[in-house]
Amino acid sequence: MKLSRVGIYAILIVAAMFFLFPIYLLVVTSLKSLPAIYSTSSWSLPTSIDWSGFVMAWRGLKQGFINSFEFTIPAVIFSVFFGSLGGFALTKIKFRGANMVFLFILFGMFLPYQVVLIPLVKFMASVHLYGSIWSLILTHTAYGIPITTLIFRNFYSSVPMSLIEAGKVDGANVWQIYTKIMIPISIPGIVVAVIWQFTNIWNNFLFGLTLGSMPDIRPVTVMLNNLKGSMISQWNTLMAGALLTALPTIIVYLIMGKYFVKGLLGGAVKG
Amino acid sequence: MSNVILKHVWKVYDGKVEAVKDANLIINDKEFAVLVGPSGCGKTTTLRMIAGLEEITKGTVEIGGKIVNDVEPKDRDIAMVFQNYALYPHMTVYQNMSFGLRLRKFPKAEIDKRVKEASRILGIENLLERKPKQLSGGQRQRVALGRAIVRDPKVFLFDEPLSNLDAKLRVQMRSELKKLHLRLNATMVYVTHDQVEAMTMADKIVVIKDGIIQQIDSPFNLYHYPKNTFVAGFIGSPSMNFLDASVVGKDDGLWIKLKNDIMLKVPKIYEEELVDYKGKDIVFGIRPEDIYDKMFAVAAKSENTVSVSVDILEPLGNQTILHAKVGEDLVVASIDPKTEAEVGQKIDLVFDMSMMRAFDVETQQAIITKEKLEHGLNESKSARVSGNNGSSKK
Amino acid sequence: MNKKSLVSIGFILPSVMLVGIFVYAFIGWTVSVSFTNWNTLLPNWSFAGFSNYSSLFVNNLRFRMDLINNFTFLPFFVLGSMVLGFFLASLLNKGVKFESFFRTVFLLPMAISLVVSGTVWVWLYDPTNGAVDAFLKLMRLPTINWLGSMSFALPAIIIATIWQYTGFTTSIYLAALRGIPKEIIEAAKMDGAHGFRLYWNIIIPMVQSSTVTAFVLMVQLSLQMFDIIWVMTSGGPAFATDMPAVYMFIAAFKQNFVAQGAAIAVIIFLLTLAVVVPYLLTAGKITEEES
Repeated sequence: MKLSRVGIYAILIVAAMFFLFPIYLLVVTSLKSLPAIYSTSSWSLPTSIDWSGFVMAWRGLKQGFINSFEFTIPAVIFSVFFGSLGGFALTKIKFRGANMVFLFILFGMFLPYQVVLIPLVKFMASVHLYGSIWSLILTHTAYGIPITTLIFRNFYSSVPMSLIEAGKVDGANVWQIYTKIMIPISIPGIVVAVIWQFTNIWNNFLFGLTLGSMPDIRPVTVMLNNLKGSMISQWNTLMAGALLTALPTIIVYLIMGKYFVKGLLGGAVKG
Repeated sequence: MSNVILKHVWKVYDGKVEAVKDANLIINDKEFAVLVGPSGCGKTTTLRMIAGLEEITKGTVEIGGKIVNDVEPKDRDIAMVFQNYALYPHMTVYQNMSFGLRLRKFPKAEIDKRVKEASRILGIENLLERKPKQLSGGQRQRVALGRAIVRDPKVFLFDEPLSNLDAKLRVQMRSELKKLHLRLNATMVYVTHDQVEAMTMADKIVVIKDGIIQQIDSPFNLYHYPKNTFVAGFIGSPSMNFLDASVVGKDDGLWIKLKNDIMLKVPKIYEEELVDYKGKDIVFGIRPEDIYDKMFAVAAKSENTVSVSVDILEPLGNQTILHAKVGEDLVVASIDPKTEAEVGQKIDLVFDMSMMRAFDVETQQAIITKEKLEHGLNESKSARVSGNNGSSKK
Repeated sequence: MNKKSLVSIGFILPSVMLVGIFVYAFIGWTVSVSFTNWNTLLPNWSFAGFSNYSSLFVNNLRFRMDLINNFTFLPFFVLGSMVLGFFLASLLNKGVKFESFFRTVFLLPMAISLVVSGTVWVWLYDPTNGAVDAFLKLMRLPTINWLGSMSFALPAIIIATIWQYTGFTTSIYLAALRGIPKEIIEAAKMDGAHGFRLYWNIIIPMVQSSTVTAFVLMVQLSLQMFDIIWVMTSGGPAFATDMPAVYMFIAAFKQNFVAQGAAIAVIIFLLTLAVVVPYLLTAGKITEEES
C-alpha cells in the first residue's frame, strides 16, 4: 500500500475522469446538433454550439420543472420543520420512551418504498388527493421525516442542556426556547436538512411515477423519462433535458457541497 | 425576605438512585452559602432543585417563605450562572443579558438602564455588541454574571461557575464575586468542589457527601470544629492527618498512644471527654499546620515531641511540606521554610496538642466538643503569643 | 401524565402520526393484501393464504430470475462501491492537493437524479455511436451491444450504479479515517506497522462501524434497486436485468395483480429487515449508552 505521490495523483486523476466523463458527455452532446451526433465521434467537442436540443427539451420539460418546484419546496419546508420539532423533543425535552419513539421514526429511513407504494396510491385516492399536487407534498413530507429527525437529533444533542436551562431560568416557555434559542442556533442544521431534502425530493422518481400520472403534477424526472421514450436516439435533446433536470441539484451541490456531505453523513455515520 | 429553606428534601432517580437524602438547610436572606463536596455528592442536584430544573422527589423547597416545589424556574425569581456559562451563541452580549427582561416584557428604557448598570459593575461595557464566541473565558464568565444581575433576582444560583477558568483568573474572579455579593446584597447559593473557593467566599458552607449533608457552618468553624472525619479531611489543604491511636491512662493523666508506642500527652482540657475512651481505640487527628519543626517551635516539651525520619520535602516557598514516617504512619507537616530538615535524616517534630482532634472509630464523629476545642484554640494562641513575646525579649 | 410529557408529545406528534400512517399502517396494509385474491382491477379481499407467495416461488420463472439477478447484482455493487470508496478515501486522506476538488467530483453523481444518470449511461452504452463502444473501437476491441445483450446488460448497470454511489461510500470512509486519532497511527508506526499491516491491523478495524453502516446502506439500496433499471432497460432484454422491485411495480400498477405485487413488496421488505433490524438494534443500544 505504499504509493508514491505521483502514483496517488495518477489514480485520483483517473478516478476523477471516470466520475466526470459521463458529465462531460452530457454537456457536449447537449450542445451538438442531431446530425453532428452521428457524424462525429461522441467524445469530441461540438464544432459549433447548437441550442436546438435545449429548445426541444425545454418544450417537453417546462411543465415538469414547474411541477417539481411546486411540490419540492413545500415538502422540504414541512419535512424540515417537523424533523426539527421532533429532534428538539427527542433531545431536549426528556420524556419516557424517547429512545423508542426515535427508533420508531428512524426505521422509516430504511423502508423499501415498494412495501408502501400500493396503499399510498389507494390512500391518496380515498382522501381525494390523488392527482393533486398535495399528494406529492404529503408523501415527500412523510418519508422525509425520518432523515430530518435524525439530522436534527444529532445536531441538537451537541447543544448543551444548560442552554435550555438558562432559557428556562430566564423565563422562556418551551415554545420560546424552541423559537428564540434552538431555531436561531440550528441554522447550520437547517441548511443541511434543507439541502439534503431538496436534492432527494427533486431527484425522486418512484413517487412521481406512481402518483404523478396527470401532466399538471408530473415531476420533471418522470417527464425526462417519458421524453426518452418519445425522442428515441435524439441524444442532443435527451442530454439537454437530462442536464436541465440535473441543474437545480447540481447548482445547490456545487455551492453548498459541504452541507450536502454533512446531510449524507448525518444520515449514515451516526445512524 | 429572600431566604431559601429545604425541609427533608430527597432526590431519587428511577426509584432507586438516591442523589440527595433528607436535606435540611436554611440559607438566610443576603447570605452567601456554598455547597461543597466531592463530585457526585449531590450538591449540584440540590442546587438544581432550588432552581426548579430538577423535580423534588420528597420534601419542600421554600424561597422567600413560599413553597416552590411546583413553581416553574421562571417564576421562582432566581437567576443562575452555569458551569459552561450557557450564553446564547447567536445573541450579542447585550441581547444575552437582556433576554430574560425582554421575555418579561420590561420597558426598553428599563432594560437598557439595567444592562448598562450591570455591565458597568462588571467592566464589560465595551463588549456589549460582541457575540459570545468573540469573548475570552473570563469575559464570558462576566456576561453570564451580568445576565443574572440584570434580573435583580431574589436568589442567585451558581453551579461551579469558575471551574472552566485558569487558576489565576479563578483567584481573581473569586474575590470579584465576593465583592459583588457585598455590593448586590443578595442571597447567593454557590456550588463547588473546590474547598478553597468555599472557604474564601462563603458566609456559610454546606459540606455534602454521598447525598447527605455532613455539616453546615461558617468557614472558621468548619476548619476548627469539624463534626466528623470527612469534614475534617475535606476542608484544609494539605489534609488533616488521621492516625490510628488509643487512649492510655497514666498517673499524670491521659496519653495518646500511636503505633510503635509513640506517646503524646493529651491536654488537661480534653481529658474529661476522652476519659471514656481510656483503653480504647480512637482516630487521632492533627492538621499539618499544627505540627512544627522543633527548631522553630515554641513550648516544645518531650511529651509532645516526636523524632521522625524525613521521606519527602516539598518546598513551596512560604512553607515547606514535609512527609515523614511516625512509627508506621505517614504524617504530613507544614513547617517553616527555613527548616534544616533533609530527606532521609531525622528531625524532631513538635505536635501542638491543644489543636489535636479525636474521632470515634465506629461513627467517625468528633469526640471533643466545640466548647472545649475553643478553649484549646485559645490555649494554643496564648502559648504562641507568649512564645513570640519571649523570643522578642531576647 | 405530567405537563412536560404532554408538551413533548405535542412536538413529536405530527412526525409520529405521519410515520405511523405512511410507514407502519401502509406496511400492515400491504402485508394483508398479499394474503388476498386481489389480482384483479377491483378490490377483492377474499383470503388466499400463502398462494401469492407460493406461486412466486414455485412456478414463476420471472421472479426466480429476479432473485438471481438481484443477488448477482448485490455482491458486485456492494463490494465494488465499498472497496472503491475505501480506496479513494484512503488516497484522499494522504493530504493531497486539490483534495476538495476530487471529493466534489467523486460525490457529484450522488447529487444527480438516477433518471438523469440512467439516461446518460444509456447514451454511453449506445450501440451505434456510444462512447463506450467508441472507446473499444479505438482499442481495436470488438464492440458490444451492452444493454441489448443478455450477458452484458447487468454488468453495465452494475458499473452505472457503482459510478452513482461510490462517492457515498468514499465520504463515509473519509469521515471515518479523519476520525482516527493521529496518535494511534503514529503509535502503530512506532510499533513498526507499515503499509499493508498498518491498514489491515489498525485502520480497517478502526473504521469497522463505518464499514457496517456502508454495508447496510448499500445492501438496502440493492434490494430496492428500481429507478436506474427502469430508466436504462426496464428489466430487459428478456428479463436479464429484471429485479423484484421492477416486477413489483409492473404487477401492481400495470397488470393489476395487486396481491401479487404486494407479496413481492413484502419479500423485498423482509429481506431488507434482515439486514436493517440487527443494525438498528445495535445502533439503538449505542445511542442509549451515550445518553
